[in-house]
Amino acid sequence: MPREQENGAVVTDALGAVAGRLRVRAGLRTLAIAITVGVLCWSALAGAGLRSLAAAVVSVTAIVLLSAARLGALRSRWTLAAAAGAIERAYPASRNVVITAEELLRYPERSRSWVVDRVLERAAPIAMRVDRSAVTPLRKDVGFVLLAAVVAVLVVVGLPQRAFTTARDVISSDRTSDSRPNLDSAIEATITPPAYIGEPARTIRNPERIDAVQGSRLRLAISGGPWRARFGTTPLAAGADGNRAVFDLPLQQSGYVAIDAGDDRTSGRRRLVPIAVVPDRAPSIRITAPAKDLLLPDAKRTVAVEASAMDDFGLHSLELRYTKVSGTGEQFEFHEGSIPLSLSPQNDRVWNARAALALSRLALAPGDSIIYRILGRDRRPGDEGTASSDTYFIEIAGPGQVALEAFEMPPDRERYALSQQMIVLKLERLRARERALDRAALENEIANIAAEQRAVRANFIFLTGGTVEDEEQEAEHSHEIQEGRLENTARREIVAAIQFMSRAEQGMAAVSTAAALPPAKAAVEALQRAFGRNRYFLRTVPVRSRVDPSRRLSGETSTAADWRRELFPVPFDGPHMAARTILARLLDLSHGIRDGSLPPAALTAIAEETIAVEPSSAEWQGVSKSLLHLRDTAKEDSAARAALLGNTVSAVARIVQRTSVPIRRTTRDGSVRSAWSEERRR
Amino acid sequence: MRVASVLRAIAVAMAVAAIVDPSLNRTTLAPVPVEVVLDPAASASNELRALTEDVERRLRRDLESNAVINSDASPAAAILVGSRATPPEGSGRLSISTVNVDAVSPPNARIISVDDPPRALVGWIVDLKATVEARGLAGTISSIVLEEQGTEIATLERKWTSDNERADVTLPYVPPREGVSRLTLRVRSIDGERRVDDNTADVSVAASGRRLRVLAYEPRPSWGAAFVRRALEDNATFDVSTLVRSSRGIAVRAGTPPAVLTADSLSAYDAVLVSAPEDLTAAEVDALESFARVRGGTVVCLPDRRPSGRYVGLMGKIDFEEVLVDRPLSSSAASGGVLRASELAVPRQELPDADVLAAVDLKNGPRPLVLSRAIGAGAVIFSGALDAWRYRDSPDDGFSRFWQTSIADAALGAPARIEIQLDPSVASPGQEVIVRARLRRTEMRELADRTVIPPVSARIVGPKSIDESIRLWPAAERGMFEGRMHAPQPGRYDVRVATTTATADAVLLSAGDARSSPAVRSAERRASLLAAATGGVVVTPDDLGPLERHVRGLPRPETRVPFHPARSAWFVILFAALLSIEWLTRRKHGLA
Repeated sequence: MPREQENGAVVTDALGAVAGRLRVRAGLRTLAIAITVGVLCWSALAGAGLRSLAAAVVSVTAIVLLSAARLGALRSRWTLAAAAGAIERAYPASRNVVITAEELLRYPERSRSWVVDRVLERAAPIAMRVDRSAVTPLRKDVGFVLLAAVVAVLVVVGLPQRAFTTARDVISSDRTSDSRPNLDSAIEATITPPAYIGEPARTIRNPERIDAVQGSRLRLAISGGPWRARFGTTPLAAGADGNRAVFDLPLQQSGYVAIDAGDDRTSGRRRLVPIAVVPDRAPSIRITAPAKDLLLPDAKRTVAVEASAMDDFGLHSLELRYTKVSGTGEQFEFHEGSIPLSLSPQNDRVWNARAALALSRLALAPGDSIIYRILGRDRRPGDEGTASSDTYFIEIAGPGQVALEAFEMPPDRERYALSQQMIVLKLERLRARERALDRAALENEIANIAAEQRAVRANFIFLTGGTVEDEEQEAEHSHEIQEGRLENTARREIVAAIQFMSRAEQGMAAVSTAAALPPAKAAVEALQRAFGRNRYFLRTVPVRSRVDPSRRLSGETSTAADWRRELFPVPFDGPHMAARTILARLLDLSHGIRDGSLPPAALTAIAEETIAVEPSSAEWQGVSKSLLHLRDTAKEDSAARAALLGNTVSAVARIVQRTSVPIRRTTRDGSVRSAWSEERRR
Repeated sequence: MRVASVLRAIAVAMAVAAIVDPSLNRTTLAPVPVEVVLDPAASASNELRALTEDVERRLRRDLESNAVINSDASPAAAILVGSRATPPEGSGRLSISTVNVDAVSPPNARIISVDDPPRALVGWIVDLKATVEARGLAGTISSIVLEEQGTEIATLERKWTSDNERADVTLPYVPPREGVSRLTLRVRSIDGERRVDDNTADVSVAASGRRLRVLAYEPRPSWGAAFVRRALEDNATFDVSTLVRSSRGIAVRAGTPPAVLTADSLSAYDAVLVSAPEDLTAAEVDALESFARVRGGTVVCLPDRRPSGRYVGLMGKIDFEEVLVDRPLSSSAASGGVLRASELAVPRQELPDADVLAAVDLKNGPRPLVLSRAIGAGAVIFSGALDAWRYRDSPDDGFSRFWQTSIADAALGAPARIEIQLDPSVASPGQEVIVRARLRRTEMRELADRTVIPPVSARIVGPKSIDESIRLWPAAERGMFEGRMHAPQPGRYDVRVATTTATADAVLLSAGDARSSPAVRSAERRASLLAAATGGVVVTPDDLGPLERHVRGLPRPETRVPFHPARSAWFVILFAALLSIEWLTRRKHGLA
C-alpha cells in the first residue's frame, strides 16, 4: 500500500472511531432525556388517574417517538467532519490539519495530489495519537443515563412522592403555630335525626358547627389519623371505617367535640366543633272557646270546646280530660273522665280540635263543677312529649248564687290586677258616670265588675280551704293562718270580707252601684284588718289544695314562737363567672397573644374553655373561632392580630356586661348635697 | 375804631397773661391698670407661647386708650392667659378674667376630662364617663376606645356635627377580678390631627369583692319588702340579714340581725331596708336617722301604703299624693331596671335636691316614684311604688334588677371608716400625687365643746423595700387630711392610712407611660368660679370681645392734671389773630 493511502486509512479510521463515539454519546443523552421525560409523563398521567400500565405504554410510545425525532435531528453531529472537529477541539495543536485532511479525503479534487499527500502525512501521526475517550468522553453521559434510570425506578416505586409528603409534613410540623391542621379537610359529620321525626340523615364535610335535634345521633368520620376525640370532657370511643377513624355519639345536650392527634405536640392544633342541640319542645295547646270560666244557672247546656295545638315536629294525639267535683266544704268527690275530640289537622304540626261538653250527661247538681283541659302528645316515645292546655272551670250555680255569664281574665294585663281595692275603684268610677250610660251599657259594665268580684271572692274562698258554712264558728277557732304570724282574728276578718263581697255581688246583680259599693268598701277594710293592709292577692292557680283535716282547728297561739329562716348559698352563676374568668385570662395573656409568643396549646385551651361556656351560643362560638384563628396565625401581622384580639376581648366583655348588673354612680358628693337637702328641710 | 381798641386790649391782656403763665387744674379719666399674667407653661411650648403672646398683643392694641397693661400702678383687674396662669398676689379685690388658650389648632380631638371612676364591684358594671372635644372634625366619626393592658375592651363611635363640639361619653366596664386595674381611654387619632398626645388618659378602677351588708327590717310582714329582700338574697354580692316582727313578741330572723335597732347595732351595715315604716317606733326612727346621718349609710323605705308616721321626717318636708290607676304604669329608671306599679305615692312638690331613681309619667307630667335624698353623710331612699312587687315576672326582671342596682349603689356609697383618695392614682415617676384621707364621723368623738379626732398616719409601701411615711395635714373639712408626695419608680404601691382603730389602703400605680387624666375641665371650672366670684369673664382667643367690653366697663380713676393755657398753641394763634384783625381794622380806616 502506498504511503499516501496508508496515511489516508489511518486518518479515516481515527475519524470513524471518533464519529462512532459521537453517535453513542448522542444516543446516551437521548436515552437519559427520554427516561426523564417518560417518568415525568408517567407520573403525571398516573397522578391524573390513568392506570399505571396505560400510563407506561403512553409514556414509552411518546419517548420512543421523541427519541427518534431527536436522533434524526441530531444526525449531523456524528459525521466524519464532526469527528474531525471534535479532534481539533481536543488537540488544538494540530492546527486544523485533521479537518483539512478529512475534507481532502472527501474532496481530493479540490487540491493537488502532493498537497493532499502532504496533509495526510501530517494528519496521520495526529490521528494515530488520538485518545478517543478524551475526544468524546462518555462517562458523564453514561452517568446521566444511570441517574435517570435510578430516578425512574424511584418514581415508579413512589419513593419521591413519599419523601415529598414527609418533607411537607416536617415543614408543616415545624410551622405548627402558623398552619391549619390537616383536620380541616378530613372531617365528615353525619347527623341522623330521631326516627319519629322522619327526616333523613345528612352529612356535612368539615363542619364549622353542627345543629341537631335532641335525640339525634352523630357520626364523625375523620380520615388520616390516628385521631382522638372527646365530647366536652368525655372521651369518645374510636372505631374504624377503612382508613378513617369513626366516632359515634348520641346528641342529648349541646356541647362541643375536640379532635386532636392525641400527642402533646399536636394538641396545640386541636380542632373544636361546637354542637347545638335543639330540644324537641312539648306541644303548645290552647283552648280557644270558650276560653274562660263559666258559671251556669243549670246543667242543661252543652258547651262547645275548641282548641288548637301546635308542635315543632308533629303531633301524635289530643284528648279532652275533665274532673267532676261534687259536694261542698271539704266533702268533695272527684270523678275523672275524658271526651273524644273531633280532630282536623292542618298539617302534621298544627291541629284543630272540637268537642261538645254535654253537661246534662255528667249529672251535675247545683254547686257542682267540672274542671277540664286538653292533653296532647307529640311523637316522642315516653311521656316527655306530653303537654296540657290551661285549665278552665264550669260551675253550676248553687242556691243563692247569682249566675253570671262568664268572665275572662286576659293573662298578661289583668292577671294580677284583680283586687278588692281595684273593684272599689271601678265601682266608684262607674258610679260617677252611670247617669250618662244607657241601661244596657250599665248592665254590661257592672256585669264585668261583678265577674271580677266573683274571682276575688273565689280566691279568698280557695285561700280559706273551700266553702265556709258556719263561718263565724270556724273563724273563732282558727289559729293557723299565715304560719301563725297573724292573730286569730284574721281569719274572721277574711270570712267577713267574703261575706261583704257576696253582698257586693248581689248589689251588682241588681245593677245598683249604690248597693254594691258600701259592702265592697267594707270588704277592703276587713281585708286590711286581716292582713295589715296587704290587700292584694294573686290569682290562685285553679287547683284545689288538700287540707289535712286532722290539723284543722287544732292550733294554739301559745305555741307560736320565734323562727330562724335558714339562708342558703346563692346558686353559682356558672356562665357569668366563666365569662369573667375568660375575660381576665385574655387580658392577662394579651401581650403574649399579640406578639405570638403564647404557646398554641394555651390558646387552644382558652378556646376550648370559651366554647364550653355555652356551646350553642353563636357569640361564644365566634370567640372560640377567633382564638383559634389567633393561634393559627401567630406569625402574621401583629397589628392585625391586635385588632382581632381587641374584637375578641370586646365580644367577651359585651357578654359579661349583658349578664351583669349596673351600678349607677357611687361618688356621693355628700357635703354639698346634704347641706342643700338640710336647708330645704327647714 | 372802637373794635380795634377792644381787640388791642384783649391782645394786651393775653400778652400779660402769657408773661404771668397761670396754672389751672383739669380732671380727666385715667386708663385702667390691668395686669396680664401669662401661662408659665407657655415657655415650654412654642405653640402655647405664640398663642399667649398673640392674645397679649391683641389686648394691648384693642385696649390702648382704656387700659394700661402691666404698669406700676396697682391693677384694677387681672387677665389670666392660659389655664395655669395664677392670679397676682393681693388680688383679693380684683376682677379676674381668664382667656382659655388650651385649645389646639384644628383638626384635633382630645380628652377634656375623665371623671373619677366610681367604686366598683367585681362582676358589676361601672360606667366610665369622660368629655371629649373635637375641633374641625364636623362630619367625621371618632372612635373612643377603652383599653386594658393594651387590649380594647369597649368602643363607641361619635359623629361630630360641628367644628367645635364637646361630647360626654360613657363606656361600660365590668371588672373581671378583684384589685386595681389600669384602664386607658383613647380617642383614635385621625389623619392630619395636629396633636395626638392629648388623645389618651389613664384611670384606675379599684374593684372590690366584698359583700355588701344589708339589714332588712320589717316591723310587720310586707310583701313589698319580702320581694326586694329576695332579690338581694338571690345575688351573692349582698349579705342580707333579716328581722321580721311577724307578731307581737314573735320575730323571724335570717342571718345575723341585731336584736334591736340602735345606732351602734346598725353601724356594721351599709344599707337598711325598712318595710311598713309607719310602724317604726320613735327610737327606731332615731337609730335609722343616726345610721344615715353619722354612719353615712342609706335607709331604704318600702311602704305599702300612703306615707305616714314619724319616718316621713327622715325625708324632710314632703307631701305625698296617693295615685291609683287601673293598669300598672312603668317607670323609667336610671339604672335600666323597670318598675311597674298601679298604686303610687308621689310627692306633690318639686324636689330639686332629690336624686330621682325612677320616675313615672302621670297626667301632670313626670313625677318621681323612687327618690333618694341626702341626710348628713348618708341618704334616705323612698319607694312610692307601693305595689310594685305584684308586677315582677321573673328573678331577672326589671324589679330585681332595679332594686339590686339601687341598693348596691347606696351600699357602695356608704363610707368606710377611712376613705382614701389619690389624685392621680396612675402617675408617672416624680409626678406629684395628692393623698386625701377622710375619717368617717363614727371615728370621731363629739364632745360638747369640741370634736376629738384620732391621730392619723400614712405610709407608702412598695417594691424594693420602699416604706416611707407621708405627712398628712388637716384640711378645712373636719376629719379630712391631705398630704403630697412624688410618685416613686414604676411599680404598684400601697398607700396605707391608719388611725389607732382603723386602717385603709389605696393602690398607686406608677408607670413611665402614665397619662394622667387631663385637667382641662377642672381648669375651666376654676376659671369660671374665679370669674363668677370676682366679676370677671372667661373667653377664648377666638373671641376677646367680651373681655374687652368688660375692661372698658371697669371704673376708670379720675386724675387732676395741671394746665397752662398760655402755653397752648391755640393761645398763640388767638393772640396773633387778634393782632391781625386789629391791624386790618386800622388799615381799613386809613390808619397806619
